Amino acid sequence: MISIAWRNLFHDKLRFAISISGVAFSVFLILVLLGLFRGWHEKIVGYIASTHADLWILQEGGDDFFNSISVLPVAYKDTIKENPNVKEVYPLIGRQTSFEIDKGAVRLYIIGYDPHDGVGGPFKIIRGVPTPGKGEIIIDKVFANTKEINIGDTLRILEKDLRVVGIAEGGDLVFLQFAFMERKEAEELLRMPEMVNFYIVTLNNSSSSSSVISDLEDKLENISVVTQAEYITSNQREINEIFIPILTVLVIIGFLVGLTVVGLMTYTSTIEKSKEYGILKAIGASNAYLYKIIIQQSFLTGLVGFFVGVGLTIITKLLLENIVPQFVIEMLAKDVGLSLSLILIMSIAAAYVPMRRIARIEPAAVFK
Amino acid sequence: MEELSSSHNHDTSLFLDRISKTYGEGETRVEAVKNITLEFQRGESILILGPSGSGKTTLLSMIGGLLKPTSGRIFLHGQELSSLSEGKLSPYRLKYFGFIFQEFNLLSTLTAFENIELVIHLAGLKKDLARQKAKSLLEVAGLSNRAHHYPSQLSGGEKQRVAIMRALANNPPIVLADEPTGNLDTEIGNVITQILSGIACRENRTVVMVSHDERIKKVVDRILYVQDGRITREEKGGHDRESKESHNHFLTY
Repeated sequence: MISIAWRNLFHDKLRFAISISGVAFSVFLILVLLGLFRGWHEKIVGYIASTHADLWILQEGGDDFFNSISVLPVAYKDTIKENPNVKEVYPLIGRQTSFEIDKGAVRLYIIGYDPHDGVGGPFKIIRGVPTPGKGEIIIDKVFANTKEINIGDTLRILEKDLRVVGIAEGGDLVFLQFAFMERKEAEELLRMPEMVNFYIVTLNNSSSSSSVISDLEDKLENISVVTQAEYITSNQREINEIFIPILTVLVIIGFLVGLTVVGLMTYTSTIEKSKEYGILKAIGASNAYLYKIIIQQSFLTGLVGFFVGVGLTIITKLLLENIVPQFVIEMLAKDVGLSLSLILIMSIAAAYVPMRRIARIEPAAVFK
Repeated sequence: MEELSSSHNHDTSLFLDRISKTYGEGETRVEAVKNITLEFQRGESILILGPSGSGKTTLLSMIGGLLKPTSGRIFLHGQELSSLSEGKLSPYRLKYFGFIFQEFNLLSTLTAFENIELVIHLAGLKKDLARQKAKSLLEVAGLSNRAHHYPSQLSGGEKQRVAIMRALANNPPIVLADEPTGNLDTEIGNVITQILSGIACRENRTVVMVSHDERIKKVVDRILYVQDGRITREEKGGHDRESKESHNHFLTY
């Protein structure tokens, strides 16, 4: 079949380029926003997921890893261990700390863990030693790069000097980064003697989690025991509550920008070619045939714009990974699918007004 | 569509029964066509003559199903066209009418070949057959070497020959031409006039032309004079069916 739609689009290359740019911008905006959200969404719970815990024990009401206060006595470890279904218990300290570097305030999320257990430590060491010793700290690559800190440098945190012995990656949350040290060292640094913030628990049989939860909640006061999955969900919930409405508004804006551009361009192209549509009607083309041309035009614009938008997003993702590594764009197939669906909806919606316009064209207008 | 197929091989006559067309309302009301009754037989060539604004183009539009009469009825081979919806009229236009326009009205984004192929494609012929037919029509028009040129790259005469081939592509029994020589110089105009006359005589089609061009009088069977929306006079044209001149062929051009 002769693609009148394709010819119409290429007849005015500038208009076609503007239409594609509008759609591409829309796709880019949607994918970057969703990608940043996904990236952060995964990052925020990346540490929790990396522990491979069956259960997390927290102070009651302390179900937010980063913002709630959870303080538990070290002595609880023995009581937890008494449960026959509990395989191992790992006490953990985790708290945000502010300090100064070159008179500038910085923040780290200090993790105090027991290096000999190997649970709760850094995701991946890229330089230096894998475990911190006394007076030592392992920092994240993003923190090291942005603050120009190298192995062997000393950080003064809460009036204590800590020597950087390792650089890890994967511990960046955009707004702050993880740093790892021995639990005892962290206890001292954060002034919480014989206290921890969390317990990580592994079970002999993960199907026994509900009985372990009820047993521990009966025996220990003022605690909350949650499964790993529940803890991840509760930590993501807050992000969802804060960001999803904002994200939705921005995605809608992106959609409307694309819709407006494609709609206006398809409409003006239709108006400009209304005599030719009249000719087509006069020579026997049905309205359905003409609608098909309009829809094809709209879809072609949408699809070309979509692929350009996806390409732009991939380029931006690669650039950001190298230039600003704390901004991670996670491009998921489902988000690409969602944006493609939105573009298809956009294309149909953009074709609606021009189609109505075409329906009203009198074939007798060809004589004018 | 059943009626369309069943009637295709029969002689087609077109009958206009007291048709009128009014535009606007109140003070702006214009009665462009007033109570016209006409009959056209297959193989007949008719010229509608009249001054500008006399209603001849409106009449032609109604004959071709491009415009509905305000009152009266139009019958094509017994089927009342004037009562059909726009959706049902388009297959009739495709199969029964070929249109030729003063401004040629070729689609600017398609080549000469594609302009012809399109209407064949619209009629439902398969791609290969449509291409073959378009090719042979361009050969008949002597335009094979201009097949892949766009309308903007063709001369007026070439455009009009492409338009004629497009009008004939689906073998319609009725060809309607609005000022077909209006935008052409004398020499090319003569050729086009001869071609249209030949279409009626040689190919047994009804050809209805609207024109100011006095030359056309000589090559048609019947002349209708239109004034103020009415047929004021009818006379026999100068077409001699025995004349060799009428039996022209595109290739001779």
